[in-house]
Amino acid sequence: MGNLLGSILHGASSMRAFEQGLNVVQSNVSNAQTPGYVKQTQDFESLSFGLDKGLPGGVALGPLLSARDENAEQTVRRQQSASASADQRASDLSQIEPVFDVTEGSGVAGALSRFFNTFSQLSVAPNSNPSRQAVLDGAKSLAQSVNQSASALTTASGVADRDITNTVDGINRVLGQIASSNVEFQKRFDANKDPGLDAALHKSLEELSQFVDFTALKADDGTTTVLIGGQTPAVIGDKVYALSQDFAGSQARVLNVRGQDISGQIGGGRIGALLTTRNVTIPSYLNDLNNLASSLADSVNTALSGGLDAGGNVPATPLFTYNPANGAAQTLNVNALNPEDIAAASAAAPGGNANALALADLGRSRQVNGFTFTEFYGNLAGRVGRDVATAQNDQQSRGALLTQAKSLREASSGVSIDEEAAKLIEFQKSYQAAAKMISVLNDMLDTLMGILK
Amino acid sequence: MNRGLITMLGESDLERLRGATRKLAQVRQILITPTPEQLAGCGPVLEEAIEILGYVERGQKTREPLPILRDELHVLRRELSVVTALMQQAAGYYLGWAQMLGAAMGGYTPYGEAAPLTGRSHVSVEG
Repeated sequence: MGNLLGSILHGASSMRAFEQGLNVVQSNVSNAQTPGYVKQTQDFESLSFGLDKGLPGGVALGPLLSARDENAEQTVRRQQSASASADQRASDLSQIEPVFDVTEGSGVAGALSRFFNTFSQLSVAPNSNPSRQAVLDGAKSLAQSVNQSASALTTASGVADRDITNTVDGINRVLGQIASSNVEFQKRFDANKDPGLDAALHKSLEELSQFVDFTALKADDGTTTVLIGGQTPAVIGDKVYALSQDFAGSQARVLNVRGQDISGQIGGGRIGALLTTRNVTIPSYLNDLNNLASSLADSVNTALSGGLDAGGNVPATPLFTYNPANGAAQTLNVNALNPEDIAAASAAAPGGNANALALADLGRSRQVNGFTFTEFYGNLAGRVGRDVATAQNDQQSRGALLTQAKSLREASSGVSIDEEAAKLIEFQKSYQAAAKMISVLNDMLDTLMGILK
Repeated sequence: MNRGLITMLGESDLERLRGATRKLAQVRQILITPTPEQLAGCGPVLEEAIEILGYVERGQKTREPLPILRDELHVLRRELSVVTALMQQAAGYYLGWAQMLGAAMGGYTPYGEAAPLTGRSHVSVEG
């Protein structure tokens, strides 16, 4: 009788074990699409069996095993960071590319060509006031084009600043989520076995990797330490060491909680690309544009100052003016001159066209770093175009690598509905068999009780 | 060298390059979800593409370059770099697993490296 009751009890224990197995399958299926969730497997352990020693055997619940593959997680986070950086870079440069339009007749290239053409036309009719006015109009149009390009670059720099601010806010928000998960790990002794908490933590880590490159270290208490750029502590236990941004100087900077510049440690994620665009790429383009503007203004002013105006005088006021301290391209302007002030004649031949011809030639001579103005601008536009193409190629390559990393992770840790369906049937059959066994044992017990009455 | 021959050689090279690029594009698709067996299968295609690239590039130095050929070379180089990166990442992933399994099964060598993962060998003699 004792053995019969024992068998019923151990049958019930088996049913509980299989029920737990069914619960795990249900959780896996329900969370198949939950970001950060990985397949859980309920392990079972056989109980000792020996009738002579009163050991009924059976099955007991083993540990709940997580299929989390940290090797795959790290690969995904690394590629996520690189891919987000490439996306951001391609997006930033695509915004800048139209500034350097080299379509026939448009932008700075077109304005340069038209400006030097006005000197050719002036050389044909050096005393014509409309031709002189055309030179002034061409100069104004060129200055405006250069100003617009410089302004567009400055605006792009401002947009990068705004994006850096938003990204730093995003980083701090996710750091807060990771610290919250850490609090749970510290509070709950069974938190390590909670697949939901584990999923939330890994979702946050993956989101963070889009913003910035970092190293995540798992501590013995289950909490995760986050080091930005592998060096700067950002989360330790329940403490967040928030980042901030600074645009006070010429360079955008990301600061740690102590106000120290950590920009040099950041190489990936959206913030890495934004810092490169803001601190390296845009200043480099702007520097070339300033170089072009100052060389152009200086060369044209020097040539004009060597000639004679319509009155036979050396011009008192230069055509172009700019302020190097505030950027030659941004401040390039045309002084308020009258058409008669244009020095079309050379000092040797007043009333002639020699200086107008020399100025027309200036457009074809190598004045900036061994290039003509048009060539120099073309090289700059070409560099921007190559940078865009490189960024787009990189974006495609990184995208493919990220897709591969995610599918490798999916293969090792993801929930397979087919696999879960097979397990479901298996557990259901085991559960039914245990239930049937209890039912039979119960009938036997009833019969026995009837005999004993 | 006459113009007709140049064109003929150029077109032949073009076909080679396009063929290699097509194969690499297929390999790239396979490498999105690679198994170790598939990885091994991708090696010969990569080798062939590199050989074709080298052959055509060497030819470019002595022949009049065709713009279309230059474009196709660029496309093949780009495809090669993506496929190589995908192969490296997948190989790195499986190598990482092999090292973990090796360390779990055989511990570490005296040099601190994970023990190599060795498969059991069987010799079967039938007579």
